[in-house]
Amino acid sequence: MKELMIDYLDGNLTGELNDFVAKHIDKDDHSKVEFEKLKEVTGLMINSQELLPDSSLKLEFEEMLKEEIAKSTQRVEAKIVHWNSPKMWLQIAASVALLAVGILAGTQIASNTEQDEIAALRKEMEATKGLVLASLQNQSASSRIKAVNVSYQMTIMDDEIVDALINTMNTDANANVRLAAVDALSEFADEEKVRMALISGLENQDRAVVQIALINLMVRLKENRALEPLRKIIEDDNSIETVKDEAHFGVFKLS
Amino acid sequence: MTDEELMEAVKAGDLAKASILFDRYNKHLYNFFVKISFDRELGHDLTQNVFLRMIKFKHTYKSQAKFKSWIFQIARNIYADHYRSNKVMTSDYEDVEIIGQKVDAIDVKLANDEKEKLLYIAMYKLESEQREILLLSKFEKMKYEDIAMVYETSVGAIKVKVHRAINKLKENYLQLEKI
Repeated sequence: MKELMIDYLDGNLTGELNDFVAKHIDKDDHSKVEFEKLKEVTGLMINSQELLPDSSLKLEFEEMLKEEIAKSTQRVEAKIVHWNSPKMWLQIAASVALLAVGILAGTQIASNTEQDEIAALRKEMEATKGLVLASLQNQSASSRIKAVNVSYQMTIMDDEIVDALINTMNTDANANVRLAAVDALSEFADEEKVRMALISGLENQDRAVVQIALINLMVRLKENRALEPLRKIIEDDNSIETVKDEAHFGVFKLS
Repeated sequence: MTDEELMEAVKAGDLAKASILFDRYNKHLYNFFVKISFDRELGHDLTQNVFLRMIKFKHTYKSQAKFKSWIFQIARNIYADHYRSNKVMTSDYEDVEIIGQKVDAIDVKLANDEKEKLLYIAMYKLESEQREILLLSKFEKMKYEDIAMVYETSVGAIKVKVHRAINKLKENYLQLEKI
């Protein structure tokens, strides 16, 4: 009768059954009390007061959205420059020419000004690197995400940064920070060391959401060395269904 | 535009549309998290995480899927992740007075409404999944079909879970009234 009373209250009963429950509640005092309490508790839930979030929630969201839009625009631009821009080809040609001159003339002809510029650049790189490494240890998850995002400024792979990002991907307490690290590492996925770390990250990852991101990345990179870890995920009784589904999809795409 | 059309646009790369979805859903998600965790600050952070994940995982949104079910599925996962990593779960043995203080800290209006305060204390004494399911079914007024999509299970299984949770809640509520 308890179950029927809930259905009756929710208006899910019809016809004779509805009349039967109504009469039962009316005649039986105990059921009447039960029903009234049920009605009270359900009513309280349905009419519960709405809590209003702080206005900073919207501001933080807008800021995050702006960053994501900028990032996606940058990616698109990078792709266009990389493959289609004649300017890019000119730059490559110029670099090759410079390299050739450099080889011919030897490194000693570099002027003092150039050396100063290189030193300044190196100093700036070191400062960025220091900032990223220190901030990855920060208590606040949003600061750690910012640190990961700063690492995008590193145009060439730096071993220490990559090691720190791999460590973040595998061990950070916050899943969103781990996801940001996966994103950042995917920028260097052409490097064998990073590629191997991403594959083994797939095997050792204990956060479902990060596993899914890694599976999708493996499919995007067409990395068939990920097949073995994917099969392990499928066979593992501890893997959750959604991850298994993604792993099945990955195996299908990579086989 | 419907929620689903907006999400399709976000998935296709029109990220600015996420702002409309935020306006439509931030209060729902915030209430879900605060009323399940009894912690406003945590509710704030986890709500933000849902929208970050919505954008990062936009490609996993399946066409035609009900947006509300999808976004609450993300919310559930975020809540589970949070408690898995922090290893803090609500306890059956926690004192009613302490739970009462937690409710007071959420909202003054809510604390002043004796019956509603009692409801939240009774809720707090439920298992986490039962609280979740009542928040979706009664507070969010979601249909069993839509909740079944959140949990990737059958409508029948959800109905059983909702009924059990309501009965347990009612028992807790009655006990508290006697104190």
